[in-house]
Order: sequence, then structure tokens, then C-alpha cells
Amino acid sequence: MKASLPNVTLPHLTPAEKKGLQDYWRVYEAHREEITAQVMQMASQHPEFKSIVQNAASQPSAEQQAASYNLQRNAILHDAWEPYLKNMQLQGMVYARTGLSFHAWFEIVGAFRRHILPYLLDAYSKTPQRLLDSMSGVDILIDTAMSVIGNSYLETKEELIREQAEAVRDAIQQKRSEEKFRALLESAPDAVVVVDRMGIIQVVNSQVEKLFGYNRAEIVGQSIEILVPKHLRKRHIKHREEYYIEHPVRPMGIGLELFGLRKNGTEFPVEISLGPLESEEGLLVSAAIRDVTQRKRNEDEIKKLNDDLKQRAAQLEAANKELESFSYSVSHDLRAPLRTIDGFSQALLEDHSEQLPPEARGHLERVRSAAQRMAILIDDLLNLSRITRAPLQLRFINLSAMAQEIAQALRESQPERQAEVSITPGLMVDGDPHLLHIALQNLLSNAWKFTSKQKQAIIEFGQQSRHNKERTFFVRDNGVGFDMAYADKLFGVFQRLHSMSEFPGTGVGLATVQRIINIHGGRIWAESAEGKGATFYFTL
Amino acid sequence: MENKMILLVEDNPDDEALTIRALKKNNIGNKVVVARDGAEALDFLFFTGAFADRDPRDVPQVILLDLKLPKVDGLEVLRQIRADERTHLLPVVILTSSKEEQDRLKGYSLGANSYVRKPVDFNQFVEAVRQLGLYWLILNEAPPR
Repeated sequence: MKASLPNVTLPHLTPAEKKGLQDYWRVYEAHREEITAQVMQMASQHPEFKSIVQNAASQPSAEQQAASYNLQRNAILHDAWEPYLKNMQLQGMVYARTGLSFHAWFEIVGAFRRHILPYLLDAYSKTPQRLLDSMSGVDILIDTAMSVIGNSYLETKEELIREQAEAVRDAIQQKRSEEKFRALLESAPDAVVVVDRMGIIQVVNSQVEKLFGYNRAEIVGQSIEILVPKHLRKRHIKHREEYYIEHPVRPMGIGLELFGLRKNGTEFPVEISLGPLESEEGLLVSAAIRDVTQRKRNEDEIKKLNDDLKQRAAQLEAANKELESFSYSVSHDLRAPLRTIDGFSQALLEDHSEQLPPEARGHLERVRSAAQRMAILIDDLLNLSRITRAPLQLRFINLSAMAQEIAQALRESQPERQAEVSITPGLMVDGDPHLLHIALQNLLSNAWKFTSKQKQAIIEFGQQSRHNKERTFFVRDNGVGFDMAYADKLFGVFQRLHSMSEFPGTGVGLATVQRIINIHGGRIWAESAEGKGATFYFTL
Repeated sequence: MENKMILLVEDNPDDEALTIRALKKNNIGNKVVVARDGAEALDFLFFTGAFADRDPRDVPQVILLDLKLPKVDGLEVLRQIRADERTHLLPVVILTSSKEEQDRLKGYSLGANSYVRKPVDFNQFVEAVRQLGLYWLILNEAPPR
């Protein structure tokens, strides 16, 4: 509502007009009561005024009536228009606010005009000019007053419309933000409870109903402690009251185990985030509650698995240590007797050769070669066990160069052999150079060994194919090959498919290769047929 | 006058006999003193215990040291040799069955001059001893005393 109304336009009247007005006033004053009664009579039957007139409470008091009368009088008789017209402005405002139509007001004014006319005719019938002037005085008064009232009325109406529009806008806004808030609340993954200063629950979302087993209606208006286990309530009230003083956004109960209480009396572990909410009703606090039963269970499970794993790792480490000390003593103690056997056999051969028949010397040679073979066997086994003990040292290495170097050494070991070794150049891989050297050494030595009876040995090293990231390499020879029926024995320790006299070996080589390829994450397999050569494939 | 002798620290009598045989086969005629455990070796080197009154002119030209020894093991013997100023410059050759990396690493880091693995094949052993004798007894100039 406007604090003040605009200034009113004061009428500029000629002396004749003023005189006419005063003539009207004299007649009105003389017959005020009759005229008022007649107008009131009319108003009491008017559909709009009826209720106002009949309602005693809405009637102006005698004082108000007197004041209004005096204002009109002073305007007409003493030219004091402003107070009168200001009062009319107020009247217009009041009419507009009470909802009376302007049209109805005109009807009342018209009635007044009709009712005063006979009195004017009666008073001034003998002086027609005075009669006309007094009649136009009535019109001047009505025009002046009504134009002020009308303006005020219209302005007020406009004001009202603006106010209503604003109110509607505000209401819509309010509704929207409430809806937004509610949607937000419902879409939250957590159960959200909003409480006031006193800890009374104001709003909850449907997750609260699900989590705690209450209907909304059952807990809104209740103390928040209804959701807290009994033994924790005292502590909760204290913390809650402290929170109102500072109210930061933070998780609740840092370092404390928190629990919720369901309607059915069961407790469950929770995690709670707190945040302040400024509202018209003052500071509210929202609590987002999450059931962490499953998470706790998972944590426990993980902890248990971790403990198991630790225990296993400790066992494994112990086993590894044992293996290490085992291979250490194998390395030391198993070889010593072999040295004695070989050394003293040799001493016998050297020192007592004449006393020994040739057969005995042959036997001693057999003893020596067996001791030496056993030494090689021990070394091979130790190498095999060492492969799994040492951690992988990955480097970017050139397998082709490595194979070339090995093949060169093989050629030099038996320069008399006819052998064609072809190696695809530039095969680069990520791997442990030491271990892959052992693997290639074994595969190429095997190929070299098993082609020894070939007039022209052909040995090949290359890459066969590439599927995604896995690459398949191969070592192929045209040697004696083997029966695929025994293919599954090929990679077992001490498994041999040929007799010692035919092709010597310990039966540890391919087991070692397989272990090396496996710890690189690859696979190894072979294809062959007796007398048709063999191909060993491995992936890296 | 010093005797260019060899101190052989070896607990296995078979290995002892074979080592001495291998030295002989290579015509290495130096005097060989055998200590049968680590404590005995230290007694010899530091003139203690049974060796308190030994001939001080016997100065090892090279020590052939086994690792697995009773009482005091070979690595500990080596540590004490290197820690004492009377012996810290003596050439020490570790002569052992083991080719375990850990032994080799510890041996060298404690200051061994060589590390030789005793081969099972006696002929190879003779060759190894020949090279050792050649280097440590003939070519190598002993440190100034």
C-alpha cells in the first residue's frame, strides 16, 4: 500500500460559482437530516450498499460524520478545499479496498443529487438565476469530489492488482522452491531428516520411512531422538545442542560409532552428515543418514580376507625361506660327495692304472660320468627353483639378437655340423633378459641337439602371429621330433622322451622354459610328429 | 726369509685331500697348512690357542677359504681377516661348493679377492687350482708388509 496519496488538484472557482455552491450548502444544511435519511433509505435497498448499511459496525461514528461534514462546510464556505479533498481521496481508497464498485458509488451520488433538487427548487424558485447557480454548485461539488475519489479509487485498484499479482507470484515462487526442496529431498540417496532448534522433526523423505520403518506422519513432530538408540540419547541431545551454536557442514560424530533405531527396536550402524538450513522458521538442521551395515560387513570381510592373505603370505614366505635354505644346503652338501666320488675315481685311474684291468677302468669311468651328470642335474634343479624365487626384472629386449648370439655359440661348439639357423630379426619384447635367455638357450639347444642326426639341420626362430597384445613366437627344427601322445609329459621335471644314449639330457630344461614363460604370463606348447621335426610355440 | 705358504681352510677331509692332490698335480710345492674349522683358521692367523707359538715366518701367500665351516663360518673368518690390520691385505680366495648368489655377493662385499666354485669333475678342479696357483703364488706380487 502506498504511504501517501498524490496531491489533489484544487478547483478554480469564479465568484458566481462560489456563490452558487454556498447557496446549495445553505439548502443542504437546512435539510441535512431529511436528505441523509432519503439517501440512506435508497442505499439500504441497493444490492451493494445494503450489507454495509445494515452492518452497524461498518457505520461511520458520529464523530467521523461530524468531521466529514465540517470538512465539506469549510471547503464551501471558507475555500479550504485541500483537507476536504484529501479526505475524499481516503474515501476512494477505502471504497476500492472494500471492493465496492465505482458504479454503485455513482448511483448513491446520483441519488443525493436527485434528492437535493426539490429542496433547491423550493428555496430558489423565485430567482431562476440563483436556482441555476445553486444547481451548478451541486454539480461542481460532485464533479470535484468524484474526480478525486475516482482517481484515488482507480489508483488503489491498480495498486491492489499489483499487490495481488505479487502475492500470486510469491506464492508460486514459494510453492516452486518448496517443491524443488522436496524433490531434492526425495532424490537424495540418503535418508534425510530436517529438525528444528528443539530437535523436533519437521520434514523427512521416503528413504527415512524405508530405513526406520516409520510412516512420515508417525515421526514428523516427534523428537529426533526417537530414531536414536536409548543408550545414546543423552549424548545425542548434548551434541545436538552444541551443534546449534556452531552448525558447520560436517559429518556427525567424528571418531564415534553411530547407530540408528528402527521402529521395530533393532539398531543398525549409520553414518550421518549434518548441514544447517536457514528458513523462515529459523535455523533448521538437515541430517543425511546412511545405513552402513553392508559396508561394515564388507569392511569386516575385507579385513578377514586381508588377515587370511597376510597369514598365507607369511606361510608362503616361510615356505620360500625353507626352500631357499634347502637349495642352499643342496648346493653345498650334495655336491661335496660327488666331488669325492669323481676325484678319487680319477685318483685311482691315475695312480693305480697298471693294477686295474681294462674292465675296472671302464667301470670307474662310468662312476665318474654318473657323478658329473648328477652334478649337472643338481645345478639344473637349483636353477629351476631359483627362477621362481627371484622377482622379474622387466626390460625391453631384443629376442632376435639374443637368439642369434645363442645360435652362434652352438655353431662354435660343433663347427663340423651342417646347420642352417634362420632368425627373424628385430623381435622386441618386454621381459626379464636373464630368464628369457635361459628359455631361448634351452629351446635352441634342444633344437640343436635333436637335429644332430640330420645331414642338414634347419632351425628357425620367429614370430607367428599377433592377436591383440599377445604375440606367439616359435622355435622350429627338422629333427627327430616326438610322438604327440607324449606331448603332455614334455614339460614335466625329469621327463624325457629319448634315451640317454640317443640324446643326453637331464629332463629339466623344458620344465624350466615353461616356468619362465608362465611367470611372464605366457603359455608354451609344442607340435610334432616322430621323424618330422618339432615346433615349440610360446606367447609373451 | 718368509715361507710362501698356503692356508687351506677346509673341514671336509675328502676335499682337503683332493685340493692338496690338485696342488701337487700342478707342481705347486708350497707348504700347505690346513685349518679344519673357522676358529682354527683364526687361531693360526692371529697366533692364538694351539698356534700361539707357531713360526712367525709362515705368512700365507694366499688363503683358500671354504664357506661352510664348523664353529666359525667362512664369511665370518673373512670379516675378521679384513678387520685386523695384521691380515687385512692377505689375498683370500673363496673356494666352495656353493654358487648361490647370496654367498658370492657376501663374499665379494666382505673383500674376497676371488670366488671359485669347486667343480665336481676332478680334471676341471685341477685346472681351476692351476690357475689359482699361477695367479696368486707366481704372478701376484704380495702386498708390502
